[in-house]
Amino acid sequence: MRALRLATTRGLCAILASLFVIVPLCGLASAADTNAAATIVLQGATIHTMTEQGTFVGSVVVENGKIKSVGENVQAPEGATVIDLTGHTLTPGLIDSRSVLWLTAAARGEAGSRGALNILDGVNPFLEDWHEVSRQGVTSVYVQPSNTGVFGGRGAVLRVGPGSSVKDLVVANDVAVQAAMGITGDTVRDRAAQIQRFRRAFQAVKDGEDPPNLAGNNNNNNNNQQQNTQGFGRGRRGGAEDLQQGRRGRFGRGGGGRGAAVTQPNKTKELIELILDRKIPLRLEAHQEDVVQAAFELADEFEFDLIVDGLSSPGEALSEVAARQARVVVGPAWETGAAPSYRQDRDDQLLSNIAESTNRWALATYSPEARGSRMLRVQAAAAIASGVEAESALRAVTVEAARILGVADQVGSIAPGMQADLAIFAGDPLDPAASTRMVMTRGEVVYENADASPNNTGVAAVELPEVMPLAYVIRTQRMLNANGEMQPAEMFVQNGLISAIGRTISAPEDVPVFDVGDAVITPGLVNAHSYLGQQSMLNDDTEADSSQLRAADVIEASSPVAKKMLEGGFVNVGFAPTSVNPSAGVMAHVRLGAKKPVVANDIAGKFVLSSDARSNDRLPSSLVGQVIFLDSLFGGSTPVTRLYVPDPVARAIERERRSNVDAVVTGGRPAVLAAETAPEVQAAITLTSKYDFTSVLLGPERIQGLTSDISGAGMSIIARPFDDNDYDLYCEQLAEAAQARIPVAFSGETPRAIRMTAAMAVNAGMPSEVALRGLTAVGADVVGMPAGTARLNEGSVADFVVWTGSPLDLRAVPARVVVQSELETVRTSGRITD
Amino acid sequence: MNTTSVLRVCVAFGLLCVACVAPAAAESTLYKAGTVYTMTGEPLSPGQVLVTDGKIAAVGRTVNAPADATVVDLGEDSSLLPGFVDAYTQTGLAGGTDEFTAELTPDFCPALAIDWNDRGFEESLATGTTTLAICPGTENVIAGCSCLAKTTGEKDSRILQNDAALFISVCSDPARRNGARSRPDGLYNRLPTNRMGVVWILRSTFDKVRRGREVTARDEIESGLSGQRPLMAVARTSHDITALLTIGEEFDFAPPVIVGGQETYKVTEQVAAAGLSVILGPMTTGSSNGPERTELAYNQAGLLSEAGITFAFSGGNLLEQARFACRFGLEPNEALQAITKTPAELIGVSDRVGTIAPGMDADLVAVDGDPMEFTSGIRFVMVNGQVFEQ
Repeated sequence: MRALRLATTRGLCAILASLFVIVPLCGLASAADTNAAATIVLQGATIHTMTEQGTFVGSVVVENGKIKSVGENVQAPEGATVIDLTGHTLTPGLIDSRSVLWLTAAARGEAGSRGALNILDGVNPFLEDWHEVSRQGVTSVYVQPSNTGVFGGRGAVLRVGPGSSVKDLVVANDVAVQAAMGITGDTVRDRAAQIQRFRRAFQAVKDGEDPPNLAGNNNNNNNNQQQNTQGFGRGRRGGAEDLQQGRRGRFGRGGGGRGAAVTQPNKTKELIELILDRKIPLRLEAHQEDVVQAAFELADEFEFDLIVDGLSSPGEALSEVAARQARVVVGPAWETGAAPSYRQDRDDQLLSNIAESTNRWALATYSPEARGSRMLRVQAAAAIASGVEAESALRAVTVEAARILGVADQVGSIAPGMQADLAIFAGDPLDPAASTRMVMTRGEVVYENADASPNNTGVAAVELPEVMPLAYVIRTQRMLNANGEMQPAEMFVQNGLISAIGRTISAPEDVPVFDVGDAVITPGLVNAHSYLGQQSMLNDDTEADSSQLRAADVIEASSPVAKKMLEGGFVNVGFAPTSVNPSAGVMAHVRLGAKKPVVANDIAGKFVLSSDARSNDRLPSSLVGQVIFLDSLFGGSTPVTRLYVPDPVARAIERERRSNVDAVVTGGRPAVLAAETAPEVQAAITLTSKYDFTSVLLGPERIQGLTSDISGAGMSIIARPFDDNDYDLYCEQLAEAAQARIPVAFSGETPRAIRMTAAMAVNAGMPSEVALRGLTAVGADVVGMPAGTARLNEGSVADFVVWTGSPLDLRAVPARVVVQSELETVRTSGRITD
Repeated sequence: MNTTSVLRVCVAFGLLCVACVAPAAAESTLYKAGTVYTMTGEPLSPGQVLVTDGKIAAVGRTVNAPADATVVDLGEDSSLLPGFVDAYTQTGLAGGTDEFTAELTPDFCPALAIDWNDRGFEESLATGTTTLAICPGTENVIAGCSCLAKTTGEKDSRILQNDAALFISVCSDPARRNGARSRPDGLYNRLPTNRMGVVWILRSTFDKVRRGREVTARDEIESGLSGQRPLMAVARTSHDITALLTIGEEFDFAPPVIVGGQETYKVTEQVAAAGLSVILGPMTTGSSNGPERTELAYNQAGLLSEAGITFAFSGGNLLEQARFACRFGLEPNEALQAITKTPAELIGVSDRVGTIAPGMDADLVAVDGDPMEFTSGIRFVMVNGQVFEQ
């Protein structure tokens, strides 16, 4: 019965899947068929060879999965397939030096302390995540046992491409032995003991003896397991290691200690011998100054090949990195999730300091999610935004990564004889908004996107005086206009207002003119929905109907989050109550940096259909309940106030609620409807259609197939940032929404997360003009900010941002954020550090 | 509260389009099978079914088909059955199956929050189920109204009825969450805290309805009690079933349908005498105890059949449940009735599904061989004339 059901379901799924699941690799089949053994010439692209040949416009000839030749004037062999890539950029396939791609969920947390693990045993070649990683140009990843074990075992470099077996995926195995110091032990004493154990173990092996246990005791396996029970994958790790040692036997895991009469070869010894013979490098994860120092000392003392992994707070040990030109793997440049404790107090300048110290450094995502490796370009862009040279960042994800991983003879650069792992971008490789045109591994096209049109954006340096004068003209080659396009323009700013703006304007002669050249000028950006880090003040779930609450009443415009938002270029914020109630309250328009930050305290009403507003302690606790609740609220009934307040107060509250709800239902104030899943979005559409009001979907995750209903109901969308575990589908949906002419705005809690959402939507096919409008005028309009907000018009307040590049280019940073011509406040910034 | 108009809009918008593999409109297809189980009389062996425009145009031993009709011969051993009807499921109901913060939620309509892309619909379809009653959960004394829908289909044709049967819970489920609290710990702590409380709330609510007092969603409750819409009562143990019979007598409402009914076999005489029908919860060979520690009998379906009680199977894998019941003593024909015609009648859609007759929706299941044989596989499932092959 089970088998029948499975079989039938699968058959059915296949039919259904082929019909309505989006196949992102439309062009893949045809391209892959044609080039199995044939010769391909990739012609006309700007080629970053990452070798002494440098960068030039030319051609690459690929044959039998290898690069045959590369150069400016390469003759296409007879009968070769020629692909024209004029205007595109071609790089070696990118390499993520620390990933969990291809690993089974259990193997991602698998750690050991006796070196017995080989990560290849945790690889599942049938996982599908690689598609999304591949389409961002990543062609190789390094995987190894988890860092919760002090001496886990062998790591490997894997291909990002199709494979029917583990063997198909291996670029190189046994490339390093994973070790970690200072991850599990938090105190200096713990770390000193750990360092001591490593020293003793290496000394013992050097002397031909069996090494003591690296995990911190000399008894048996059972204790070993206890050592390893931190973090996820609990309880399975010791098991895997036992299995490797052949000790599991019929007694299972628990019997390992007492019943293990069989003597097993000592893997720790075997591996340390290989390390001492320099046959395999030790990849030692070390973050704190003392362990980094100890790692170098160990390497000196026992003369092995060391790769330092992590290096989060190296302190003075950074000078050692420079002195030795040490091999270092670092990352992420930007924490997209919660940072582990050892990364929490990293210096903002860490990456640029490391990049200046050693040329031999690689950048990795360190994502705990398999799909996270697709963020490698975002991480490289973030590194550049934090001060790393663009050239150095590109080397760190290509040739230097390959060298550190010991696979530089196969991948990481473009030269005859190298494996044909290539990535072609419609723009700069490290501008994540630039779509990927094509990705090839071993000569096989694994991703192709013929729609990717060249999008050349650059990053320029900006020089402006510390304090701007009262009147000035600012001129640029790239000023964002109301249509979302960049055009040469100049702007005459006087007494906080824009006196004139246009291609050429006339201004008094004594007014200073600042020509910022290629720098980009945009209006102060719009974050359509944010809590500005004040969630705790905005949470109140005692009453499902909180229509009377106003976010404006608790604004703290000088909070650190608000300050970072402003420094990141976002001036206009839709400040909102949190989502804990179905009727959450009223949103305010906040203009950060202004003396009076609250521009309007009632721009939109917020209502919640997502699960955040379900509470077991009050109605509603279910989606159906939420819909019924909101339906009755919009329909005119006022839920009874159950707060214990005097009657007159209760009546006042009810009046306030009524007027706020009426303002939405009949008064034209937009309703911001928080809805994530498809049924929630459906419910939002249903309510909008029934009451015929203006509404905006906040953070929908699933709108596929619903776009025509959404645009039919005249709704717009506020996109929320996505995380490592979200599918690209999310960004594709935003692109799809844009195609259906649904206005899209952006929101989030950090400037970079908001810009990343917009950038990745552009990467997925949203026109950059649409994204830029969403970050400015459209963003302001959908949540009901006053007319003219986030537009540079004659007579409007001079709120603008001077960027080193487009806000969609994550490499770019705001060089200057100007609020009301700086009459109210002066802002300067040079780096992004959120 | 006015949910009906919300629901109407919900049908117009909201629903996601599913695969469309149907032949172009106005085309007819003639299916020839070894046996056609029409469920309206004796099986036709051999039999033919003519499908036109998503409806059954004709059925018989031989059928006069239009000259341009496509003919599909399924072979001598094959069987054609009506699409199965699952009379009690929560497939696709998103964001919570109950609004358990209130005791009475007669206006709880699953149709407001169904994820039409839920994998459960595909699984149901793959096992031959074409019509589902998506029902509210059991944590409220008066739980809400079910939504009747096809397992697949296009926007407007998918929902058959938004607010079908009214559900009440005569079991300890509504008290479960509350009983766990030692004392009221919130503003909204609710009743009941035990099973007696469940019956007390039912009784007091029905009393209010009878005396014209104010109650939540009176229309839904009244129409359920008067028989305008089916009344379904989740009751599993024999004492819950007798409690239901007692309340029924007291308030003289239309005979409800017992849902779950794991111990109905112990009180067959009373149930038969009161004219109640039963939607049996999923049959299982697992443990000897069902939900709420009910004592299960492998032949419960056979015992109900002997006592002359109308019953249907529910809860997924309907063909397997029917086969299982046959192994323990139920007549094959009765077993097939219990997954097609009977559930369609109980949930109130027998005018559209549950039998193979002219004018009915073309919802069919084609089986390779005798449907009651364990080894017979499902070849395809048809919904509104669209074929989903295995």
